[in-house]
Amino acid sequence: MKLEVKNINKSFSDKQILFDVSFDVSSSKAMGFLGRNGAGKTTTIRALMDVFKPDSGFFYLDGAPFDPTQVKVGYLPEERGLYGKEPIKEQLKYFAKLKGATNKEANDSADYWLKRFNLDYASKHKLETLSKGNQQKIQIAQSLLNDPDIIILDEPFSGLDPVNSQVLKDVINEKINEDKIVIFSSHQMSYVEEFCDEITLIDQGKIILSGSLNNIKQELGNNRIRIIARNLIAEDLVELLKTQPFTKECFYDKTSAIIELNQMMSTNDFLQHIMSLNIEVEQFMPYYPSLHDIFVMKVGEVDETN
Amino acid sequence: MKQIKNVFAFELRSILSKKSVIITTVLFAAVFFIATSIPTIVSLFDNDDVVDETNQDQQIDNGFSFEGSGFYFESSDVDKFTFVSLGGKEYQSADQLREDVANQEISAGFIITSPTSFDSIVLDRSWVIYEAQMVSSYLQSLQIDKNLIEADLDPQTVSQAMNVTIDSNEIVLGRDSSSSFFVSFILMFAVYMLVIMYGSFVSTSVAREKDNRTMEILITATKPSILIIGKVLANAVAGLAQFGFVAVFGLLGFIINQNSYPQEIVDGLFGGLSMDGLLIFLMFTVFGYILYLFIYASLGSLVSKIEDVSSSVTPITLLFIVAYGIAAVGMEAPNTLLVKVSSFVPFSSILTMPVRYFQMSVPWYELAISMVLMLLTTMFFAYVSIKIYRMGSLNYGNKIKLSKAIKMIFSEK
Repeated sequence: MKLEVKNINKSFSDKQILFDVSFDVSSSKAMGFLGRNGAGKTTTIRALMDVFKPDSGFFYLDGAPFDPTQVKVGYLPEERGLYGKEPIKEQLKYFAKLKGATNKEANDSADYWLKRFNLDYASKHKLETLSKGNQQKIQIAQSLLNDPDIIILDEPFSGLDPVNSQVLKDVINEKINEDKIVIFSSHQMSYVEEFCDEITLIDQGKIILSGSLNNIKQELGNNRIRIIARNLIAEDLVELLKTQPFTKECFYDKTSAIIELNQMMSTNDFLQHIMSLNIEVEQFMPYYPSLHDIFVMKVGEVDETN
Repeated sequence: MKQIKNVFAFELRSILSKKSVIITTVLFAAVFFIATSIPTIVSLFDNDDVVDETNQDQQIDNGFSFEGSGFYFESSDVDKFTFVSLGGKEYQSADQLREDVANQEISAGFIITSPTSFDSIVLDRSWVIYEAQMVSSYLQSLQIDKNLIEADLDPQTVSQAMNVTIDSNEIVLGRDSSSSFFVSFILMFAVYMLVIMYGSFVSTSVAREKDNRTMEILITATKPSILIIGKVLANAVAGLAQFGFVAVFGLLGFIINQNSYPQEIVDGLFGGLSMDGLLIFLMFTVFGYILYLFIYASLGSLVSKIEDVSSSVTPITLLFIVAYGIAAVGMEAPNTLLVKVSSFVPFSSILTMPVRYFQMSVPWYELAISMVLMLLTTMFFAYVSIKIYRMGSLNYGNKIKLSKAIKMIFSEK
């Protein structure tokens, strides 16, 4: 399956929020949808889920117009919410049936996810009696009911402790391996980097980056090289390399020096040259920026408060 | 249809499993059962048979007594015996009489100034001083007798001559409003409570889904029309079931205790009830009730917090209270233009048409026109309510005014 988002525009009260938003995502791949607060992530997802109509643009699934009510879609909205005073299993069954499950399917699906999230003991409890973390798990379970083919999770890790985050990571990996389309937005770059083969970066309603994470890293790596020397700390190494004529740009991070070479210098020549400078090379590898670096590079500081 | 059934079943189970609903229903059923059993309970404690014989001769046929009243006779022309024999205490001075009233030794004092005038003295003025009316009545009777004797007429003969009873036999071709009054009042009040209570329930239920942010999951899982129709129908059925349950207990209490009720009360309650009247009442109630529930549900979707619900539903509640007021007028004067016109307006015909039908003859075509108008309006407002619900359901933040919401719907923004 391939889900395509094509040229979506959306305005509220004459203020344009989305500008020609386009990206696509395929089965068995997870797509990380990134952006700062107010960048347009939730608006794009809500338009995709037909919560409101876009002013222009289309959503396609395998080339045909996408209708979320005709496909099994699991959706975890950014604004979490379920019925606080209703028994947990009853409301999970209700949501499964609204999505088209039979009574038995709804029952089995609710049982499965309650057990999977270790909440089967609480099936008859009211939601409001659970801790916030467990309520969050029920909300995630709601989005996984009925074995959806497309899973859209808006900030799924917010509010989860490390143990429950691991449970969710396992579930997401499982769904990716089951050939599902998984889209999730997050401020937590480490999670996105862990799962996502593809990323889409949105800023002020415009897509500024979209595609394979590896390709993006390669592209933004600018053929830079990461070097760790045994006999020099990164700071001293950078000072030394900056004096060399083949250095176009050089800087360091916590562990290593990163150098961008002038075009005339090949990698082999560079390696030979630095060895001649009595630098004991411990690691020599292509430099790929982290997702955090990419985010900062493209849209500014990362806001991980959520 | 299957989805409406799912929403309906979930909502109905949710309402009927609420402790507050269960407790209120059981409590009201018990209260109605006990209330309808009161005549039997009273008869169990009734000690009419053990009347103090010493008082018997102080009472006249109607059981009236001047016990607790004091009399000072300024005029010697008045027959004191009439008042004293009925338990009245004679005083020798007006001051003593006033003092005893002030000290609450006696409840009322009367200074008989002449055979045709008296002053009454009480500590606190209540609406009706029954004793004063009786003093007036006795003085009048004594004076008439005196006048008759002076005119050489025997008071007893005159009394017999004046005691003529006319037998009349009324044949009602249409409806007897006197026998329909009680049933109209009870049913009208029940409908009023039903709409106000369940209107509030349904609007709060919608606002709560916005407040706890369930709405976004719901409307991405199924169509808004399914959600609102299922919710309205569930509330409608829950309300009818709750009121029906209470009514059954009230009726059961009445049937069990019917022998303890005076015949005129039985006639007043059930004399005006007929199958066709009941059918008309049910039809107008059910459709009018659903119409109001749709409007209440859409108004609930215009607010984001539960505490804003009451202000949002105020306009429709006021409209319904006006309809209730008109229906109350209709019980006294069902043939007035106001009541007649309101029985065609769907927001008021829920109450006024059944009231008119119970009170007087209503041609079948008027019933049909009113019913068609009611159905069309219900369908129209169901459509508008679905649109408002769809639009309001995801509009968080400040309350949207109803007029703005309707404008937005029709401009399809």
